[in-house]
Amino acid sequence: METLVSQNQLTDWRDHALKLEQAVQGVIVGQDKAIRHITIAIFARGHVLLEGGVGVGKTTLLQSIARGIGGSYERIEGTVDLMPNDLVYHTYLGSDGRPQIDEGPLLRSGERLSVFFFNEINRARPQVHALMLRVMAERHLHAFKREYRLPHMVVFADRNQVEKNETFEIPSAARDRFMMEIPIHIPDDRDLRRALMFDTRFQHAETLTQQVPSGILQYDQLNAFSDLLQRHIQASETLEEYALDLWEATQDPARFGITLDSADIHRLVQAGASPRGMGMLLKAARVHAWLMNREHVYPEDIHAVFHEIIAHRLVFQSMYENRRTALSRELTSRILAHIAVPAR
Amino acid sequence: MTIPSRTTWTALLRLLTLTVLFALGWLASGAALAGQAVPAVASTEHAADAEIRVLELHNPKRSTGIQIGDYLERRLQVEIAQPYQLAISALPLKGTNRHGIELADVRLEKTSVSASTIYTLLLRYQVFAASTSPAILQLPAERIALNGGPRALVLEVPAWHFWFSPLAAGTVGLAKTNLQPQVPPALISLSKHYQRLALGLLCLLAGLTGLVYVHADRRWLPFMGGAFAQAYRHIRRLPPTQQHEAQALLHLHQAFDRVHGVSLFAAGVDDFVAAHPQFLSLREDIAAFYAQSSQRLFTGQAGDAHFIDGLLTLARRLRHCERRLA
Repeated sequence: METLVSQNQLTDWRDHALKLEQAVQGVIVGQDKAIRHITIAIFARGHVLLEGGVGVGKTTLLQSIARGIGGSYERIEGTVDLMPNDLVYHTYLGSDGRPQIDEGPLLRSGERLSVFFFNEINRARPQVHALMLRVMAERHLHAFKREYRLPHMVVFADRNQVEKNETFEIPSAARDRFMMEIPIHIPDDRDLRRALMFDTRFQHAETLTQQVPSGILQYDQLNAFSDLLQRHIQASETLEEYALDLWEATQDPARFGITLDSADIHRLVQAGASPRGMGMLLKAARVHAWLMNREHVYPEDIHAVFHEIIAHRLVFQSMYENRRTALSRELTSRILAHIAVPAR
Repeated sequence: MTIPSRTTWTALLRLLTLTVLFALGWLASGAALAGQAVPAVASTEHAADAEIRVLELHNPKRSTGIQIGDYLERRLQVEIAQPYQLAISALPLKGTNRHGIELADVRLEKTSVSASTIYTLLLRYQVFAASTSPAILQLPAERIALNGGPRALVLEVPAWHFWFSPLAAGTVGLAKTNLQPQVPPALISLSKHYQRLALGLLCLLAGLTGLVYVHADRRWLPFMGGAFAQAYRHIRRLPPTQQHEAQALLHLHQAFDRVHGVSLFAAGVDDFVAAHPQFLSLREDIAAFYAQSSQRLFTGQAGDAHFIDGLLTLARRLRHCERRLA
């Protein structure tokens, strides 16, 4: 009986998840892959780094997602003078001339907060990073002499990777807290580009966001459902062996005969994926398998999220860091191309 | 003129008789030599003697074309008045060879009638004369003495001449002396036959090569030692049990990876057939294989009883594609 209930839940939630994807795809064109990854992150309850230039629709995308899953959406801009307190509260003079203190964007919505967008997080100081990372891990914060719980919050953070002045690169340990780094690029399709330029409906982000039905998902039930999903979707021994091979390949790619055209593979990797990262990989793979209406994880499920989950976790030698994006993409692709399943 | 005495007349008569008999014998011999088989009449030196009467003398019917080894028979029947008789001891000895004519057999039969005895004498000769050219030979004349009477009578059998034909021409000599310059014989052209033979052998060789190419497992020709040929060989050695299904899958997956150069997954099947169009005809089968493999490896769902057989069949078909046979 319990199994039947679980099956029904899985089916119902999958229908809702696909409905959310379709709704967001209707307003954010050319980003189907990113939308799929965000959906996976939401159901895997993982935080997301967004990779991409300015003006590609990240805010609209996140607002649409927030509207679809329900709950509140908050946003903060990373600046060099941003302090941790700015996330927690802000002070102002009230109408009566007396100083007033209100909750900051992190606490303002309380438990209703479902999506928190930290734009250009690398412009903020490490102190801010530290607070943010702690909240991401613990999902609660002590302020105003009480405990603020943020159980349904998913953090989306954008990194400005173009400008290096007045930026504070997120250290590898901090990057590891993010489940995924999702690339959001300008669509290559010429017709889509034309539509983005000339279709007036894309000129009003707020109007676009309103087109997504609100509350497709119930944000306050996502944690429980995520646990159910993770328990239900199984991984075979063969797949576990494959995942272990992938993990070892991120640590010592040369041992698997992997080479790169533009880097010395023996000197490239300083540290491979972390255990937390590999755990997140399988977590996300299970969500993908569920979205594909399977009860077992296939290698394709891992492939679907491998780059997004592993690439930002790789620690390269400093001489290669300035080419991190290209090298990480190339390395993860080579790993997937070289590691076979079954291998033994 | 003196009248001859009776003895003289008798001697003259005898001489005349002999002369006539000789003439007749010579004529008979000549006729025989002329190719006519005329029975000879025996004559005796004392033909006039009343005691000896030649009844018949048969010589060989053919007097020409006689060759070495031939047998010639003479049969003489003579009536001899008693008390004269023909003594066996007086007969010519068997085996006597005279000028190449050997007496091979002598037979004598006698029949008594009132006051005389009839003797039938058979003389059988064999020719051993050697001559390189036709020659006149003769069965020798025989003189057979009679006994028993007061006088010494002799039965004479005249010689019988015949043409001897040599087996070989007399001019036979070394073959070298007879050699004549020969016109080389016109040769029959064999080039067309050689061409057909070569073509046939070529077809046979091609056929055999084709059979080897299709069925052989080892690497003898290009593409023969390919990844799928090896996979086929490995899978064929596996017992068709459930415990070996994963191993069979492993061999086939490794073959795909080797051919493709990178690890191949279900999502890459279209890229695979695009990069390796020789497998295009099996695109659906390859996709089905990956679906089947995923079920077996990642869901733990066991294959059916013929799972490995199915993989073996697929591996063979892929091997054919690999060898550009499909």
